[in-house]
Amino acid sequence: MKKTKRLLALSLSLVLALSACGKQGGEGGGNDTTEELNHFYDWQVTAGDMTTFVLLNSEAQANSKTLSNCYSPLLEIDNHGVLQPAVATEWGSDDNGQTWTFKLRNDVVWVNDKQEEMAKCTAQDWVTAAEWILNAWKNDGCNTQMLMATIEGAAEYYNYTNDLTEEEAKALSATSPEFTDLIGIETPDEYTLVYHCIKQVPYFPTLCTSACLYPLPQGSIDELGVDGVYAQTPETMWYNGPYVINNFVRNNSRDLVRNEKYWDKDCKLFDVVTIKMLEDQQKDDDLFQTGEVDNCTLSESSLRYIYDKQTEYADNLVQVRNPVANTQMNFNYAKNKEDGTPDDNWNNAIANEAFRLALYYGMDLHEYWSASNYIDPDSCHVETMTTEGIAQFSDGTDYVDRLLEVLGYSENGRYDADKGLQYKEQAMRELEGKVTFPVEMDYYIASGNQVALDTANILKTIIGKLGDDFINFQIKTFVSSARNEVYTPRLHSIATAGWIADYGDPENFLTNMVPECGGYFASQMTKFEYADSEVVDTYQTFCDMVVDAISITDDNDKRFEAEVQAEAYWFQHALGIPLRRATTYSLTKINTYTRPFAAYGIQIDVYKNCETSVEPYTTEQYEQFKAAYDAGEI
Amino acid sequence: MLKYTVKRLLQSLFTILAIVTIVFLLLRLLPTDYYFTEDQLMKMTEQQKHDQLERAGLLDPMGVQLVRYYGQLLRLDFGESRRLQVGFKVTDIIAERFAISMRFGLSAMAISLFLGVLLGILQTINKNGILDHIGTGYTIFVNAVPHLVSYSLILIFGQKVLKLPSLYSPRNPGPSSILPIICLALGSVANYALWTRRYMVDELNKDYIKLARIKGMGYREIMVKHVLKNAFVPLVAYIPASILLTIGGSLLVERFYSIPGMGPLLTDAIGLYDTNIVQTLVMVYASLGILGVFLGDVMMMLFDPRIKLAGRGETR
Repeated sequence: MKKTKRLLALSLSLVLALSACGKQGGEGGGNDTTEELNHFYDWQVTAGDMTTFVLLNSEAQANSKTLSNCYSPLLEIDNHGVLQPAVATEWGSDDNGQTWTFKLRNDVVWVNDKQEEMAKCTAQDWVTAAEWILNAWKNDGCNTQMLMATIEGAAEYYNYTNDLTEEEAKALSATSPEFTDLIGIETPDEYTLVYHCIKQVPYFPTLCTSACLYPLPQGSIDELGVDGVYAQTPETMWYNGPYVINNFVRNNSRDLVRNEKYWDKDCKLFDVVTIKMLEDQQKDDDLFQTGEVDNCTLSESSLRYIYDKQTEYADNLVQVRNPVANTQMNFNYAKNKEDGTPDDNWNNAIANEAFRLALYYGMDLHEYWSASNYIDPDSCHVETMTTEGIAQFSDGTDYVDRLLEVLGYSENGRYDADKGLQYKEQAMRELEGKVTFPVEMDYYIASGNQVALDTANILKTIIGKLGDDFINFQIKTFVSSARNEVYTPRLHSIATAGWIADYGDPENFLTNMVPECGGYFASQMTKFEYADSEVVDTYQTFCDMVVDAISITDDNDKRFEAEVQAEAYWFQHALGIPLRRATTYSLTKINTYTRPFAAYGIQIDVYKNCETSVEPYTTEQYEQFKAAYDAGEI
Repeated sequence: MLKYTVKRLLQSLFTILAIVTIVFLLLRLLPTDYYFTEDQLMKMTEQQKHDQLERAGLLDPMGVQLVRYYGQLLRLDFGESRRLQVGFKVTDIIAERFAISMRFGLSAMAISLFLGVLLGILQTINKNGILDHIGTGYTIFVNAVPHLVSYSLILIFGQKVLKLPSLYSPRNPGPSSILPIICLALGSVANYALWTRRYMVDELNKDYIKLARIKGMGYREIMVKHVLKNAFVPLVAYIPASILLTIGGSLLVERFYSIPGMGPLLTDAIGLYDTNIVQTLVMVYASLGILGVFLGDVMMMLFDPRIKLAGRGETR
């Protein structure tokens, strides 16, 4: 008995000792005494940690989340999604968008990680960046696509360097005649930058928010060498953005410390932003509640728990304002069976417009939306592939609003069970003798991914409501690569995917579907080879409409209207089906109505002009923010 | 001893070479699309992809690639990371991480060795008593419950009750290391306790112990001088390998607590098809495993003079 008591006492002492090691509260901003947070704690998923510190070499958000805070672009996006001056104070084109001139401010400097001034930031830094990207031996071909498609001589220079040896190519710089003679970029003086485009590019200024038009200082290349810059670290890189990276610990955390020499003295910045790396996205919910991070995107289970049980944070549930991708269902019009032979049953069925329209009108997606937004599933309702904020007509009408007007949908959306049933019966009549019903629809998900499985099962239920005699929805799995195991051998019937735009024009979405434009979805997901079918003409008409629309470069309104008509045509013929706008609920101490609203480019994660609170915002406060934002007061 | 060492060394080299070659060939059998990120696959032209592959030497015949790789190994050139940390030397990437994994691993091992052996001794002394049952229950619980579940329980208890940080923080290494070390030690304590108890009970039942008792030797003397010493010999064989393998870190614990160690490196590198990192890590782990077994043999010999290291047909 005595021994047991001793053991109990020992255990209790140990627990108390461990408690003493722990801290009350957390690392998050809850302990600050000021009204707003000076030190903001954010998070990122570990599996996506940074692969490079060269922004020009990066095409992944895992890198740009940190690096977009370290570099200043020519132009920035404000909280309303409007382009604003940054390093460039003026910009414009005198020839309908073929030549673009940017006037740069003269007080931007490059600093090192200790915030010591290293050099002035001039127009030449953008020329250096272009040379770096277009040199086949320096940047692995990353971010070349937009430059080669728009700037004079870019493709020629890339091909030229590609034929050189590694030593020859790396010896070239932005001042080498091999580059300056070919490329259509000029610097008439230290602070003027001129881009000559192959064609009229009306959306060129929006490209300034993409990594391909960010600067690179020649001074750092002189200091570190080409290989040194390629493998630069937070300690060796140069900064001209709002923050400098300190205490970088891979897979753990990093601090973004305010750059005291940042050119924008009037903006609001945090003293420090700490980004913590989490092993999975659901962990942020717990960390917010222990005060270790200052915002979290609630998982479905956490949201249900807080909302249903009305727990401590029930009054703090807010829908943050962030640009989100629209997920859509793409059809494979040339499906193969697993033995490699064409799946004629599916291919015949999906080529029939009534079959597609039965899905388009007959799918009640509420349950699918509830999986990501339990409280307000209707906010996930989407009817377009293009996301809001991408482009506006000259009268201020958003492209998406105009598209909805043309499509003629009310707020309730397109779902119409009766219409779906009518199209189903029509399809079964028209396909009699050609197709065996129920048609097998194969949908592939990553094996072991429970979230994907749950979502697939919801889709199965939704499509099942069209009738067991119509479609047999099959959930199948791939091991590691959807592209290699599924899309390349074309084993899928449908694929679901979303897209975040690189620049501010709807062509970013539309050309994805057009093989002539090298469209990703067109070549990889809806590869269209099915001959002798009405869908060939329908698809080709859509492609022609897109090509015609993007050839209009002298009148933005005319161009957008033509793009609206093309996108409307896509959905009127159900060549694809919009599924979901990924809205979510959060607990947060940041007012996202004050953050940059970047529907395109890489500025979505810039911590600039953010309004914050030491306490989590309430639902009511966020409703007030929305009202003020819509009224133009924020 | 020397002859045995040289023979084992040559066998080890051959084993490592075979492993490295197999892994090299397996990686080269994967489709070359894996060489690119999804974004690169979307945005690069076919010609650009072809050029990149050619530049990396991945379009050369397999034999040429293999010979070139052997040449690099002879020069101790393990190459650069292509996807995980673009442009960084593989050796630098590993060096950056192994120390922290080792620190956590050694701390956990020291704790688990001490607690595990102590628990095993206490269980033996109180055989069939309450402490023995508690120890057995603990061992069964740890081995029966999936690690993810027990780690989650520790995390919830540590976070909610003890208010300990739920992520490792280099700024606050003391308190933030407590939960990960407990997780790492949890399983080892049970294993050391299990084996210590088992070997000690085995020794207690042997004739020489009975003889010692008959000769009037005290209980404590028997336990310390004979039982514990002899029971410790088989345990000793695993200690060098355990120490060396701490370098490898723990995938689960390091991911769970955002520890910037070696644990997730191999799986991350495989996931990203970062061939240079995968090949080097496989070689490192194979070498550590082989070295650990060899050192275990040496330790056993040092602890038990009856054991001799010799070639086949001899004592050992």
